[in-house]
This record gives sequence, C-alpha cells and structure tokens, in this order.
Amino acid sequence: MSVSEDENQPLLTNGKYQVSKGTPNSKNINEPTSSFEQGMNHRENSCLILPCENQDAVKINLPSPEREEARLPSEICKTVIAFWFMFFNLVLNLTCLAIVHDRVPDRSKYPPLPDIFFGVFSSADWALDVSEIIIITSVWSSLLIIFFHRHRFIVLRRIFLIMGLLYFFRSITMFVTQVPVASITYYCSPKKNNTTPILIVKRVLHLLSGFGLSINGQHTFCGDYIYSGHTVILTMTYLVINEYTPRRCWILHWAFWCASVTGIFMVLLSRGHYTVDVVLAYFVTSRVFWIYHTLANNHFLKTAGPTNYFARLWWFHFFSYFERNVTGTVPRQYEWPLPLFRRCLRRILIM
Amino acid sequence: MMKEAGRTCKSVEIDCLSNGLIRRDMNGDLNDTEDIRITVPSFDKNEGKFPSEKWKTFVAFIFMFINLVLNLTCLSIVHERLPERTKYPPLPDIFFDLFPPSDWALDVSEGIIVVSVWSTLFMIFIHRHGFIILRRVFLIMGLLYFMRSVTMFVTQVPVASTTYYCSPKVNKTSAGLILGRVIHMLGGLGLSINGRHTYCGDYIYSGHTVILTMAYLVMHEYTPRRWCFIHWLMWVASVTGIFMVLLSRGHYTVDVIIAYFVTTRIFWIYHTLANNPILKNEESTNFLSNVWWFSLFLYFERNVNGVLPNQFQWPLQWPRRCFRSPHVS
Repeated sequence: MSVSEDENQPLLTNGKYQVSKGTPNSKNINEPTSSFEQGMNHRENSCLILPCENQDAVKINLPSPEREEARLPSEICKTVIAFWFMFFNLVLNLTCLAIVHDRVPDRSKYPPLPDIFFGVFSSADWALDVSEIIIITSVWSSLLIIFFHRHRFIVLRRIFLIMGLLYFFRSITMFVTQVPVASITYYCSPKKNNTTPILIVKRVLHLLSGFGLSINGQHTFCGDYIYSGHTVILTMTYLVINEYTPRRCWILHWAFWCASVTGIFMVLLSRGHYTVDVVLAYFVTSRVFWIYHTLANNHFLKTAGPTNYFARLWWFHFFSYFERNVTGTVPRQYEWPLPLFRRCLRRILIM
Repeated sequence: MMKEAGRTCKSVEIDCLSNGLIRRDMNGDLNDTEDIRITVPSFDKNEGKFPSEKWKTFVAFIFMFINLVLNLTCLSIVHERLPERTKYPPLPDIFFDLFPPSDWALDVSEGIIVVSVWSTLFMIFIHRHGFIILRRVFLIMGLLYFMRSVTMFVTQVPVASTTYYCSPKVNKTSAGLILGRVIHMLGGLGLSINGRHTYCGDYIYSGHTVILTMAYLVMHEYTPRRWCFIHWLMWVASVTGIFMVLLSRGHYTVDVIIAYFVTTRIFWIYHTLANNPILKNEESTNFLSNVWWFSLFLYFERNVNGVLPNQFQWPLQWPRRCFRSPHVS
C-alpha cells in the first residue's frame, strides 16, 4: 500500500474517485479509467485510488469484492473416521483401566487420601446414580440437538475428535500413577494374581457394555481416577450446547450449566473421584475445546506459521485433516434431518 | 488497510476487506461537493511498537511473587494433612517400577534448574526487549504457581520417596507457624538443594518440571532460530532434569505429565494471543478469550504490537564500547 507523504493526515478528495486495476505507481489521475461498478465486477484485486488536492494519489488495494461464503461440507466419511478415532481411544482407556485395576493400592492398607471436599461434605452413595443419570440425560439431549443441527456431521466430527483426544490423555494419566480408591463403600472386583491378555480383553468387553458408567453395574474395576471422565463428559456437553445452539436459548445454556455443575458435585459427594481429578478434568477439557475451536474458526491458525504456536500440538495434523475443507464459523442453523416430512416442514433458520 | 471515515465528513461505510464495497457510492449518496476522509495511521518505523513499560514488568513480578507466596502457604498447610508415611507407602508408579531410586539425582536436577534459570535470565538481560519478555515470564509463572496452589491444596498424595526428609508435623497449626514456614522456604526458593525445602505434599503438579519446561520454551522462543545448538542443549538439560526428578522419587510420573501439559498450553495460548492482534479482541471466534486471565493479559500486552524481534544488546553503559550495536537476528 502506498501512502501520501503527509502521514497520519486525513486524505481529502473532491468526492470523485476511480477504480483501476492495480498499477502500483499511479499518480496523476484526471480521467476515469473505469467506472466503480465495472471495477466491482473484477474478480482480481482492484484498487481504490483517491486523488488528493495536490494531484498525488493514494492507492488502497481492495481485495475481490465478491463475498466469500463459508464452505461447510458434511464429509460424512471424515465423521466416521473421527468416530473410530474416539472409539479406539475409548477402548485404550478401558484397557488401561483393566490393567491398573490390579495395581490399585490395597484398600485395606490405603484408606482414601485427604481431600478438601471430603473434609467438608460427608459421603452419599446415592449421589453417583444421580450424577450418572444427569450424564445420560445431558448426553442424549446433546445428541438430539445435534441431530437437528444443519451441520450435524461437522459438529459430531469435532466432538468425536475432541473426545478421542481427551480419552487418550486420560489413558496416560490413569496408567502412570494409581491413587487409592476414594470411596470406602464402592465395590471393586477382586484383583487377579495373574493378569493375561485374555483377561484384559474380557474386562474391556465387560466395561464397554456399560459405557463406563457404574449405574448399570458393569463398572466394577477401580483405578481410573486422574482425571475424572464424568467431569469430562459433563463439561463437554455444556460447552457443545453453549457453542452450537442459538445465543437466545439462554435457558437451555443455563439448564445445561446447572446440570453439569450438579453432576460434578454429585460425583464428588459419592466419592467417585478426588477433587484434583475434577479440577484437572475441567482444565484439560475446556482448554482442548477452546484451542480446537479457536483453530477451527480463525483461518490464519489453520496453517503452521511462526505465530501459530498450536501448530506444535501433536494433534495439529489430525485437526488439519478434519477441518481443512471447513471455512468459516459453523452457523447455528437447524433443520429436519430426514427426507420424510421435510417438504411439510419449513427449514428453520435460527441465527 | 482501510479505515473508517472521519466524523467531520459524510460517513462512508468501508466494508470489511472481503467485500471492498463502498456502499454509499453504490446508492449514489455522495455528491461532488462532499469529501471522503480516510485517516491513515502513521507508518513511522521509529514509533515504539515494543514499549518497555518497566512499571508493568514490576507489577508482573509482584503478581508472580504473590502466587509464589500462596504456593508456599499452601505447602505449609498441606504438610500437616499429608498421609502418614507409616500408613501410606509410595503409590504405584510406572517409572518407579522401571528405575530404582537414587537420592543424588535430586541434587543433579536442581543443579540443572539453577544453571538453566540463570542462563535464561542472562539471555533476557541482554535481550533488547528484556522487560517485555520478563513481564511475560513473570505473568505465566504467576499463573502456573496459582494453579499449582489449587491442585496441591485440594488433594494430598503420599510422599513418593522413602528416604526424603520431611519435617515433623505439629499438632496445632497457627497463622504464625505458617508464616514462619513460608519465610523459611522463601529463603530457599523452593529448592531442596539448600536444605530449606523440608515440607512435603507439593506433588500435583511438579514445580521442577514447570521451571525446566519454561526455561526451554523461553530460550527457544526468544533466541534466533540459528542458535539451534543452544536450543538443543536446553532441551537436553530440561529432559535430563525431569528424568532426575523422577529418579530421585521427587515426584510421581503423573505430576510431571500434568506439569508439562499445563506449562506448554499456558505458554502457547499466551504467545498465540500476544502475537496475533486479532486475538486480542473478545469475539465469538476467539475462544481463548474465555481464559480467566484474559483481562490480565490484555493489560500487560495491549501496547505490544507484533512479534518481538530477537535483538540483543549489552544493556549497561560499560563496557558497551567493546560491543557492536544491536545484533539483529
């Protein structure tokens, strides 16, 4: 961009201005080269040249006047891949749990660790069921809402990828160090002296059938404390609903926030986790979610560069693969997803 | 870059760069006698893009100091809540299963920490924009200390080492006692090597890992790319220091992993915000503005425009004659 010699001074014109194709050294412009409307039809960059009182001109480069629409391809295939990525990490999680169950400190020797929440509130076994019911309700509600989202495959893909990352991180923290069981009443299956791969596989299948929840009686293996999976799910449902539903649905956002906080409180009340598990889970979930969405919604962060520190993340290439064809912010639009009855129902466009 | 028209003229809406339209003209609202005024910012290179703002650096130092004291206060308190060593042996840990303990390793780790920190401080000292870098380091360290206070305080894990000396607990804790402990530990700057860190319980997350990771990240960020030998050296030093901390059973493996994760994410979030002006606004696409310390960040970074160039100069009057003018990387 070329500027006049009088920097920081307003450039005054006589109201006429012209657009020409980019000629970097244009100065004295007395006759119009092309009308503004014609300039507008140029697909290449055009320039705005403003004649000044002293006959010098200021050239301001204008990019193409054509508005760029956000591209939001569904790419269902990528959503399926993201789902398998999440599933793989879920299985890894359960495998780690099946292994560490035999490494958990002996309950008879290790009482629960000192914890600030446990010192303030006495334990309540029923609270875990309340928490898991809240989880089930939140998850199904979120899935239903996403089902009606116009760009449901993109949203789902993002959820799967983020959950996969969170499950992976959790596998690591769970595996490296084992803390004692936090509850004195929770049932943990007996340990085995001899752990074989077959045993691990059986345990994983057993746990898979219960989706990691205790409420259906399938989660009887202990040791998955750092960090709290319950907190991850509750935090994620709130963040997803807050992000992908219209801003004016503040009642919905408020309801999910209350549900998440209550669910997390209940997990602690039931001694399902230590407080540090919850704190770490909230931190990791929120940061990964915010980093991912900042990368996705700011095009200059989608490529590696000296000011893009997130390109150093190990999962940046995963992100690039899944998000490279998505340009712009995913709008909050909803529609009836099935072909049936679609003609009868208007497309609901909610912004 | 287009700017909005001045107020004294008929306002002309200049759309965003992706549009490039001047709407009023399309509607024929402008006539021959009206002016279009576009104010162009100064492009004078001499104008300070990187003001030192030493006062802010001092404020950042106070912020870090407060959080360091908070850290030590939490440690003084949780020392009393620590699980009894006779009842709670060290927890199962994958690293402990693979490597036997070595008490000397903690001294090695802390020696590496001392050398790394002093090297980094020297680099900052000779950096042309040392005050800005120092401010950033203080702020990030303050945030990390604060978050460490929280995780340390809420849950206490058993002592990881069977040989490390922990001061006896007292039955009755008072404010005076806590204060005395804090002052005692302040004298040792949180290191065991000087014999002042005899209070136990500050496990999650590892402060040693935070310092070693930060030293590497700062050195890597604020030195020229071609100093790859220095970068490599700092990386090796950091990894060795962390390994030694684990070898000495100074921390559990999970403490180290969490510390690395938190330190790198905070550092990268901070620098991405600082080096991309568009992220200094609270917009719906800027999710990083949701971090609780975003307002703090804005206060410290709002006058810093652009990426800090890695330029060095000897800051003192003497013997500056012996050194060349600022070296531009």
